Amino acid sequence: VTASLLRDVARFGLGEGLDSELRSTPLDTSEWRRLLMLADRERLVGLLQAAIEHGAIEVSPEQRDEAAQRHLAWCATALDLERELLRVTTRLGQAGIRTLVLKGAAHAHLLYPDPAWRLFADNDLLVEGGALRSAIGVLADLGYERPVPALRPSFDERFGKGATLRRSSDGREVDLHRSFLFGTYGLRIAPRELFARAGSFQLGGVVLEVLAAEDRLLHLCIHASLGDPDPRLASLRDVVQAAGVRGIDEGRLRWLTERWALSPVLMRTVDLLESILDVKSPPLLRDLAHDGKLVRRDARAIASYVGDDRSYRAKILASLPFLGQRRDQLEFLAAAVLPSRDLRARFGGTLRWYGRGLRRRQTGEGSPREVSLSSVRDDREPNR
Amino acid sequence: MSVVRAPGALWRRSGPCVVVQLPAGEPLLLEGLTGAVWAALDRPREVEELVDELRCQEAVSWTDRSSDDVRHLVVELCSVGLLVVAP
Repeated sequence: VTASLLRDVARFGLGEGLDSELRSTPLDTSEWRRLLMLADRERLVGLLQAAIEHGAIEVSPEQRDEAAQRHLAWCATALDLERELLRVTTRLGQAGIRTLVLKGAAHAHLLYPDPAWRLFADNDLLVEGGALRSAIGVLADLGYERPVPALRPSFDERFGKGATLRRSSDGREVDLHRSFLFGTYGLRIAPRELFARAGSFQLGGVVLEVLAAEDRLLHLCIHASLGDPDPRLASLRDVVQAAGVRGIDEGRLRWLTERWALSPVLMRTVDLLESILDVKSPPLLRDLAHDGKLVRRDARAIASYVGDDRSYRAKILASLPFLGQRRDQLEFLAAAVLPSRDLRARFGGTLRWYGRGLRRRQTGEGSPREVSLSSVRDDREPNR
Repeated sequence: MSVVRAPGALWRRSGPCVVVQLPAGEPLLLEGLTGAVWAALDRPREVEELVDELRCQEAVSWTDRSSDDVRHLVVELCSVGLLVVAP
């Protein structure tokens, strides 16, 4: 019951009216607890709250209150992150470093009818590869450190995904991206082009730059399909939202899909949307996915993200056929086999760090940050 | 006097409440009539126009004292930086 209802929550507001019934009787206590826990994990607390507010899910008064408290806590977390996003982008801008906001606040404000429907737990920024090292230096002034050193000084700026920075004083993290992800599909994308056609949105009176709508949709497909073997339901819903944005240039989308050789990824996206979210894929994506065919090296590349062996080594080996020039291949391999002294010191050897995959769970993975709320309540009002 | 939400304020609506985050300090929870005042100030409004707007809203429990309450709230919200006087 809970899993089915959670999927219904993930589809809330798509197609049928906002008040179309998803659940006519309150869940029992254990099912309700499980639903809340899964809604946290799948980043669906905003859609759950919206479904309850619109009367699509019947809940007991206690459950209504509990969901509202949960939603408020997530809202406070998102606002705290947005404030930090403004600080970070302002500081980087002052240093002459251009950034594009990826995911998080950008998706909440640009893809959903109400940003309170899409809550998030971290900040992601795309910086131009050549500026990555400078950006890390600038954020050090704000207290951010890089827990995992670079493979090699130049590797980040040519082949890497980017760097995760963390501030130990409050546990905040900022993901600085050079590309969308590490490995094959990160290497196929030219990040400089993303800056050339960037869009923008306003946050707190400040204009922030974001990916163009077509780039955003493809980024979301990549993220949902390759970011995790079991993608979050919210990531799949994001794809549906992004595909429905007005003004998407289908010609440009098709051109980018071919240029970045993304048809195999879109085939997986379509499959995930239909098998997990149980929605009909947007025709736009279905057409693009059907244009492609899965050849062996594509299958191997996709498996390096979502197959049994998702290690760094698997991604490196799968990437080699896509690095056109022998010189690039050698440089890429050299960095992988002989990582920097800093990294070797951190992981205790030359090759042992491979198996660890440098993957780790994000802070605040399944719950909002603890933020206290000061109430500005009107105590004079008699009937609240 | 015309007032509007502070341009640097970040906010989310959650049910009948609004959570607001200013550039400094803790997030603030606006409930009841305070939340309704915030929701109505999506554009600059004269205070008396705001009173009239809220009086007509079904979701607001309006009493004889509510007009004065709204006027006091506007002053209070301006004092904490949530609202500003519109240019």
